Amino acid sequence: MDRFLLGQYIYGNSYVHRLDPRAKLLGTFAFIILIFLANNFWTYGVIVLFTLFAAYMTKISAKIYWQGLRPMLWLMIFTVTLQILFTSGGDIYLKWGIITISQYGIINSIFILVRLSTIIFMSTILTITTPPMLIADAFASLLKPLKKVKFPVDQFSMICSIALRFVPTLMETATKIMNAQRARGASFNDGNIIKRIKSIIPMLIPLLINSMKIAIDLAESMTARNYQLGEPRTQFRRLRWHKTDLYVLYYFAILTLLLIVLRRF
Amino acid sequence: MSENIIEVRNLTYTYSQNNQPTLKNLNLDIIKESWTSILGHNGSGKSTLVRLLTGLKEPDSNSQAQIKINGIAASEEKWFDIRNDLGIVFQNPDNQFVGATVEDDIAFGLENRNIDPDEIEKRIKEVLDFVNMSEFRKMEPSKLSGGQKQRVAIAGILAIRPKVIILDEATSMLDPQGRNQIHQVIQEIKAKYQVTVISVTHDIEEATKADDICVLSDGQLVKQGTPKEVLIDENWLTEMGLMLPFAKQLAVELRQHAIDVPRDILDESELVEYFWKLNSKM
Repeated sequence: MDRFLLGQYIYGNSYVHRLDPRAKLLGTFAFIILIFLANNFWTYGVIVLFTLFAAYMTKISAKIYWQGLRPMLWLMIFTVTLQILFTSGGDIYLKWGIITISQYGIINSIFILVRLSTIIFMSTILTITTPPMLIADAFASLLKPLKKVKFPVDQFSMICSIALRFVPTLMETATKIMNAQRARGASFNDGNIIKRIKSIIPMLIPLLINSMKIAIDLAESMTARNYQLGEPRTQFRRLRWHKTDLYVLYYFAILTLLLIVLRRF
Repeated sequence: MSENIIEVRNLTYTYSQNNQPTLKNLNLDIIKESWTSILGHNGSGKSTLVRLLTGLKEPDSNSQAQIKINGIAASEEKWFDIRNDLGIVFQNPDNQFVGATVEDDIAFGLENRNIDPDEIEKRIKEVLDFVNMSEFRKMEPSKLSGGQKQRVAIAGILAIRPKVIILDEATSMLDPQGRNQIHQVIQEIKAKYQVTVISVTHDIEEATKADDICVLSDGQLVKQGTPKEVLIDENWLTEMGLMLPFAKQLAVELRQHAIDVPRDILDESELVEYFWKLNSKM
């Protein structure tokens, strides 16, 4: 659970690790958009190669990526099945009621599978090589232009970083409450799914009250340390754009070019 | 006569859900650059006093309350100025951590004061060295012990170069070892920086180490003076709902066995000293 909530950052010193988090965040977004340029086996092939290349650059073993993909496996199987069963066109291999398995259905489902898995793969690369706090920083930094339309970017990034900071604290509280209730005979792992969900409710209420208390304490502590809404404050953690971050741009330019050329075949 | 850094007059505060005021016409002076301990049993109004002294709560509007800190008379718009030279360490080390790592947390107070990032970097290094936590700089708070967390909190406050540091029951959630570390840090701070330390506590051992003690009971200041003056009368301390320091507990027992330990002995080392003399006389 802890890993799931906190992202899966794995310490490393590869080129991808060292990249500016903004470059990685933008890259991931760009990739997700570029995928829609792909329309045939050639272009999807390029997408897959690009993803594998990016993964290779992180110097992180394939096993870890597999762990990142595995939770999404059911979603992928479900989508692919739907595609196969309900898309029609081209040669029909099997027809049974409203269900048809057709040539287009199979091709489409393969494309969808590639799309989904490469998107998950790319975002895993982002979260595996970037600590969550830096992703939040990058996000806030990219939102900065919104200041012009009076969007409270600084407050927003403060909220994000506090939320991230308190994930482990809340997990700890939750564990304490669970243990306290286990000591009095509650069980969280027995019974069917409904029973299990029900057993979580008595845990949620103390957790909620506890978080309120933490929030009040934190607000007092922040005020005592002179945090003022809307006042200018300096930023200790600064993101710095390096020359190597520009290479990401080249890689993506090459990818876009290849996709545009190959989609005509 | 020494200068006062904090002057409180007629301070009255009533919680909205209570009829009785928690603090009643409290008057209090705190001497500049002293270590003052504010002592009192649970519910004596200590924590309320801290919140009033830091502007986290406002005194009753119908009272004639006056608070003057570091020469500035407190009013709603002045609190941010006053707090610029003020640092507070709260009771629960977990809930006062704002930053995701030790260095981020120390930077928080400095960022709020709009201090240049290069200067922040310098100060983080300085204060972490001071509290002996440099190796934990990149750590997350959840990976630290209670005593370590409070040391980081103190470092975060030292970084703003305060004139007054208030410790609100800062050691009450710590184990004895953590508590001693904090006491030691306070002593080192007193030696190195020109600051006034106010420690609000019900730990009488902590109070014996202070220069000055204020005893609160039922929302009023009942006694103020040096530890030797304030803590001399065992019966009175018990009446106030306070524990006796260990050395005094022992002295009470010894008196029952006809060893007349002087009443102004407050800590173990003084007691040992007394025993040495006692033996040599015999």
